[in-house]
Amino acid sequence: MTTSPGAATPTDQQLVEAYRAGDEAAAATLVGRHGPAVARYLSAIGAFPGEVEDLVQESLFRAFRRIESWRGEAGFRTWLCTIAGNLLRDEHRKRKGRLVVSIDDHPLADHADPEGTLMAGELEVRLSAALARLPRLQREVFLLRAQQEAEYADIAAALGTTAGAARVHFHHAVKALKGLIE
Amino acid sequence: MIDCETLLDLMPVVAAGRATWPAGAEEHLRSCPDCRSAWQVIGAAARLGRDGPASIDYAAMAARVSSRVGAARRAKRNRRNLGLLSLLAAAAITLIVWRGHPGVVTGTTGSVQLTPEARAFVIPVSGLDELDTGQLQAIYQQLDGPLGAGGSVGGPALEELSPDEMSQVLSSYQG
Repeated sequence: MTTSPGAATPTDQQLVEAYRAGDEAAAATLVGRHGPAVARYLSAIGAFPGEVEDLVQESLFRAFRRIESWRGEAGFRTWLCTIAGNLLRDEHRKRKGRLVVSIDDHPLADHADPEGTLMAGELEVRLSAALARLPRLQREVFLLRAQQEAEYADIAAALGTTAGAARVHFHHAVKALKGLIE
Repeated sequence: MIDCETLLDLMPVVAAGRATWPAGAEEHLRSCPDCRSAWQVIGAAARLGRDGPASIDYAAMAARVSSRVGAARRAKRNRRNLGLLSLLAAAAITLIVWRGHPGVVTGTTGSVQLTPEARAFVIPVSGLDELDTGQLQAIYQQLDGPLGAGGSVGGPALEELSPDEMSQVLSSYQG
């Protein structure tokens, strides 16, 4: 997510350039700006609540370690989400067959307002389950567009495809999700 | 009248509150069950993970990430410096070997001359340098001849032995 040049708030591009020049505070600003979105993205693509913080940190570490490879073709947040998605896939592949899920990893219903939780949360729970059944590319395109509000061109640059293909993936994903949720 | 595909493309930004519906979109939504269903999905996706881990301290995380990146870069720099040093050492050794041993100087005619320091390491082979050409030639021919041929030790050649004598000779070799 970028802000317009000239505004008081520096853009992601300006912050990245400042960080490359040695300004550590710029990195802190970028983490504060995009960390929560990366955490949400990780939760949506299947990370367990107990592993989200570690995965966000590792994603940010990987991103800042090779910050030179971000040239602004994709939005900084979209780029971070892509790194996080790849990391989660690698982690789950490594742990396949020996995954231990803590009981803390299951979100508990808010008993103070059970009816409200059911109404607001039921669709999200069904959507999460349906997302897990989508092909990986469709799932990532859908979430980058619907949850992270990324533009098709931005998604295309991050995932190495075209804007047209990203749009097709999004439309197919919505169609599949409607079928899976109903 | 807005079509379903255009409406679908607009849904994420409207769900995020970054835009409002254009004219005709709300009427389309009311009359199109497909789009209403898609709008539900997009709305749920926009809310997905919103109640995620709120306890993360992003300022502390930024400090940890910076520290790790700094350490990784230092380690990379050290590895690069070590590699460069190894390369320089290898280059120096190659140069020394290529130019010749420090004790050996190649003369202008191509013959090898020894420096005074190198001469100290020369081990003299006594006797051979005192022989004349004929004697050296005789030794060379003995060395070059077939095993057991010639009678330099004064005994019979191997081909002159009877089978019994040959067996004895072989037994003596076998201990």
